Amino acid sequence: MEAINLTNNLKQSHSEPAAPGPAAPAAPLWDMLRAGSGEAFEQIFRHYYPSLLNYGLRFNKDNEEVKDCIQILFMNIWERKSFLGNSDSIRNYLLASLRRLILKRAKSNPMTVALEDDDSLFHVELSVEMKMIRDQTLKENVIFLQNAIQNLPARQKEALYLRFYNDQSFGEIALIMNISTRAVYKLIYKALDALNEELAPQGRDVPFVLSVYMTLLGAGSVVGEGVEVIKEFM
Amino acid sequence: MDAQKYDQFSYKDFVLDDDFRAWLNGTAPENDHQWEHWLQANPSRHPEIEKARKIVLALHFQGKPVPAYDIEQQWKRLESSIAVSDVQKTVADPPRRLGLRRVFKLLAAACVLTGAFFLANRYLTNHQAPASAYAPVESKTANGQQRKLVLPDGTRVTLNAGSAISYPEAFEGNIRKVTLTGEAFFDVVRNEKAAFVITTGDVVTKVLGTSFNIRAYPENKAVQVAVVSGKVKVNARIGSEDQNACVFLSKSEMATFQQEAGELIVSTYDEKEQIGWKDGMLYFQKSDFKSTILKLERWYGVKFEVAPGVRMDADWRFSGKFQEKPLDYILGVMSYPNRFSYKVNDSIVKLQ
Repeated sequence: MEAINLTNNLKQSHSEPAAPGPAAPAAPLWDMLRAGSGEAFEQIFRHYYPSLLNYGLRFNKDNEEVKDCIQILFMNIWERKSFLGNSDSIRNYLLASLRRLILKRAKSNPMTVALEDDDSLFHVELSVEMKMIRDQTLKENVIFLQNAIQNLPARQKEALYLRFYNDQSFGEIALIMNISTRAVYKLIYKALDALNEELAPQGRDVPFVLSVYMTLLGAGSVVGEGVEVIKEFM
Repeated sequence: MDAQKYDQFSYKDFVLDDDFRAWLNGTAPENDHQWEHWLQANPSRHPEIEKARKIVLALHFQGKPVPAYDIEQQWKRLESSIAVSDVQKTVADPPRRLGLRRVFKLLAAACVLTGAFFLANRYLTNHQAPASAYAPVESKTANGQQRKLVLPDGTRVTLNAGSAISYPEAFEGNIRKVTLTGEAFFDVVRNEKAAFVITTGDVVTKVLGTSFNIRAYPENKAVQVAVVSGKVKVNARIGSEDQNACVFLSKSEMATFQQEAGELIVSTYDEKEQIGWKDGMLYFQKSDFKSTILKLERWYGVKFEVAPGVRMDADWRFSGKFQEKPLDYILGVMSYPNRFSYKVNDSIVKLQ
């Protein structure tokens, strides 16, 4: 399978190490599927199944229900393959369809809705990258922020997840969540505002820029100027 | 790096900037130098950078790794569902949307139609006999839970509350072996070349491809196998190693093995009583107090505390069908008329 990035976001090299971003299969796959190719269908399934499962589990922690939804989604696609439209991005199409399906089924099953309150409807898991954070105070700061992320409204969390985990552009997020691009900006900016507010009373940690200066000093690449800045910080 | 544009950036712009995040995450080391110098030249941006950095570090979402065998299993499942739907079309049914549930029910029949040949072929070509034995996978349900599973061969299992099943990560050779405690409904994918064998204590159930229910909760002191479709062979060990009782069951028949009496009895069964649980039905048929309580504890994931003052008549029996009813409701029916008062607190039910 040729590794070509399907998303419009071409800055592939910047995806974070933990990002799933499997290189997408070549776009002709979709056309092959529309022409009835079972092989293309299988490749699409195998390739996108992991990111679909991961996204689906954000809405419903029930593994089996999400897997059922993915099965239904692909059975529908196979049945309607000759009626499928053009798709610029298979991934966006699949994510958007799975999202619709899961939410529809959750609505028709009052048991699950009753169990969840609104804001927990998008579950995320966050981790602290230990390699990058050795400073204890900073680590506490980050964990504190992560708690705040967990408490954000579901849609804000979802937009953040799609932007920072799936590495999707604002336009793509708009398509998947079925809202305008403007609304996506709003969601993300609101979320960042909320996180900033959480940060305000904090700040006992050694400033990051200071540590950058330290490394520069160590490397001998900063002259007098830099040292004075450090004094200011102290 | 286009350094100019950063001079007016706020923390939000930095968080959303791919190059900034790449620098923080260390994935674009070629730009490190430029960033360091930009920082030095723009002390006014430091507070914003500081905020942005914390937020970026916090926005570290975690995904769940998806193992290759899961992709394999789900693809097989999709493939066989599609085989079913294609067969239906050629059989000249009007085209319709397929509910998954329907597909499951039709699976056994359709496997016969498409021919065991098709599946067996697929199965064999996709699986070059692996060399080593696979690690066993165990799946459990707590009280109050049910779970649906798909085994490596595509067989579907619904596990009732308080049950456990173990099976290898992949089936090898000419046998598909699983072990069960508690209760489960099986919809076994037909494979003439590899029998599906379930061990429950002293009872061994062997099939090629059918659907049936096995109930083997330890405290019931009996194992029940109820067949919905196909043929099932039930073997029970009586007494010593080599003394076996064996029966063949077909559709609508049930075998009950009484552990104490060492008897294996064949009978018909009440469908609601045996497999109603799968569809959310809690069913009691002349159930005594002790087994009623046990069943409720398992179904709702609660614990009962019965005050010494509560005395049920020795011949009190409880019957009823409850389709997705809350525990309160059932307690109300049980206690009528004023046999006891009840209080549900978290997962403790107090009878007084």
